Amino acid sequence: MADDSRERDVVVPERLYKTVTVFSTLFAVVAVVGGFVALDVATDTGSAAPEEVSVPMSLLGVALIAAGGVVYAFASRFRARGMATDKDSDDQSADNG
Amino acid sequence: MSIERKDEHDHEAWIQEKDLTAVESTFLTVLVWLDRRLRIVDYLELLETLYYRVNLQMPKSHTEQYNLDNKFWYWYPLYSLGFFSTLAYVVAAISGALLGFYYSPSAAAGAADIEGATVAYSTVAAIMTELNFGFFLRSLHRWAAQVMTAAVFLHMLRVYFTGAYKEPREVNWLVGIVLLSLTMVFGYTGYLLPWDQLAYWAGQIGVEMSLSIPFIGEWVAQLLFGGFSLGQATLQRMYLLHVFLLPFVVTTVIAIHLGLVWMQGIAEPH
Amino acid sequence: MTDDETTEKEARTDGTGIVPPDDETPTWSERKERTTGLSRLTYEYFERSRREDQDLREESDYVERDVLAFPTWPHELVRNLALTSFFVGMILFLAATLPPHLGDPANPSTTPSIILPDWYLYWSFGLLKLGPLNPELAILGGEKLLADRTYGVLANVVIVGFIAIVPFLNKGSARRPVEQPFWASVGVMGVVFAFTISTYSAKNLIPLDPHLLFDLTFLVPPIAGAIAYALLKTMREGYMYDLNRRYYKLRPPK
Repeated sequence: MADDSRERDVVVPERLYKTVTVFSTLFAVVAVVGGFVALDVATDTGSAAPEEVSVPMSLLGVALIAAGGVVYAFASRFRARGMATDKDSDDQSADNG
Repeated sequence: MSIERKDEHDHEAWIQEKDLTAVESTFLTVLVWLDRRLRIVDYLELLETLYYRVNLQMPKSHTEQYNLDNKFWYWYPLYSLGFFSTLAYVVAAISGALLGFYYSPSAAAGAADIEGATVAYSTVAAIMTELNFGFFLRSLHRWAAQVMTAAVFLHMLRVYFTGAYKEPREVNWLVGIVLLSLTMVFGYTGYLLPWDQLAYWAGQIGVEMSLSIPFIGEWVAQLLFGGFSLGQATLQRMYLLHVFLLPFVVTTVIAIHLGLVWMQGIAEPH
Repeated sequence: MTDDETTEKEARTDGTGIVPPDDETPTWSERKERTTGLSRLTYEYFERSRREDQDLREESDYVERDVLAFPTWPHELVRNLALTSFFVGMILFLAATLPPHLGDPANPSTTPSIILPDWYLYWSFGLLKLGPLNPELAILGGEKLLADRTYGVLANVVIVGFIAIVPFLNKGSARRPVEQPFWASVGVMGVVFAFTISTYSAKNLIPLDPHLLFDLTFLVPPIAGAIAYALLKTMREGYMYDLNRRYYKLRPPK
């Protein structure tokens, strides 16, 4: 793995890291679950005939799921000091204790 | 926890001076804004502290004497029985309140499709068969009660065998005996409420027991069972004891019991 | 920190032992940067636990008591919460898998073959069947002073009364069963008796001769108590030796 292909890392203070983790995860979970609920409503829990599917509602659902994923992925670039950057980076030996 | 606020990290200044892209600083600013208002992280940090405190050390005086430097010893579960019975009591109280919405303590003739059923019996049968989650609700109430009784008995044994009733805790031992008896009365009155064969004949034993008390026997039987043969009066009295009188009394006595423990400290661990 | 110092501190990594003094302890973050993987996580956990403990001890209202007692909060309640939330989950599981029985409706005209209260009252129910022990007094011309059932109710009062006065009979600072073999064996006897008298209360269900069962009900508990007493007495010798040695090592006699 070349270094430049890897994601950008931002080292933040520990308290800020907690804020980022908690709130981005919270948002992601709510958005993804809400997205699936919206999809369910749009398709009447998957039982609606194709012409009865509400397009704006299903778009909203997909958008929510995507937004949740994006926020979660984006938040993963923030790290606290001393945290490993990657599973197989140099400063960690492979043995797990 | 102190009333003063802890010094907070100056997130805005940090975001300013750190070399961040526009998206990143916006993202962080939004999250910091949310954090300042919702304070979820603070509550999670309290939980985090509890998580670490599970491994608090024992008092040094004790660890010295018994050479216990391990922090987790294998009969912790026995030391949590008292608290466990309190929790089981809470579970029983909640499920019991829900059951009370659907139960009616009447010995009048009940549903026609069950032969010989009273209204009380029919309502229990309806809870079990018709009410959503009613089956589980009754099961939960019964199991919580059974487990609470078992936990209270085991709690008493734990206290006995570790000598935790000794000075200065004699009073709490007596309060505990009262609580144990009340728990059994609680269980007994609840056992009678479905008014099935088991309940009826257990009630019969109860009447005979109270009649055998010297001097005041008949009076006690009148008071508790509403007569010498079982009927509407008995059922109603058992119901009132079970859902009105005993909850008040037992909750108060539990509060006293726990208050004494709180003031005196947990008796020296085994 | 130099390398020498870090290796020196490596001796205690399992979170046991006495809390070290402040200035010798590497900080949380200093240690955090070492070690890897699971061992590091475990290490961090115990290190942080120790710090929590130390912080509590340094708080002004913490008293290291002579009368050995344990703070209810946070020491005991935090642990209890952790353990009992598991037990409450167990209640829910039991409730979901083993629903309760609902018998036939009450019918005063047919007596069922088995009349029993709930299990926790078996002992009391068994005490009601003590008729054979009720003495027949010669003074009254072979009549019994009390009716059998009154005698049974009194037996309940006696048992509960005895349990109630235990703290006033058993004094002293002994805590563990090995430190007080007599009272521990009384306890064992009581527990065994609770089981045997419960069995006796359901005597029509037990495939034994009722007289034999009655005798066993009263013979087994003392035997169990005697065995417990012998065992504890034997254990006590070695145990007290250890305890005393440790005590005098910590507080040498002047």
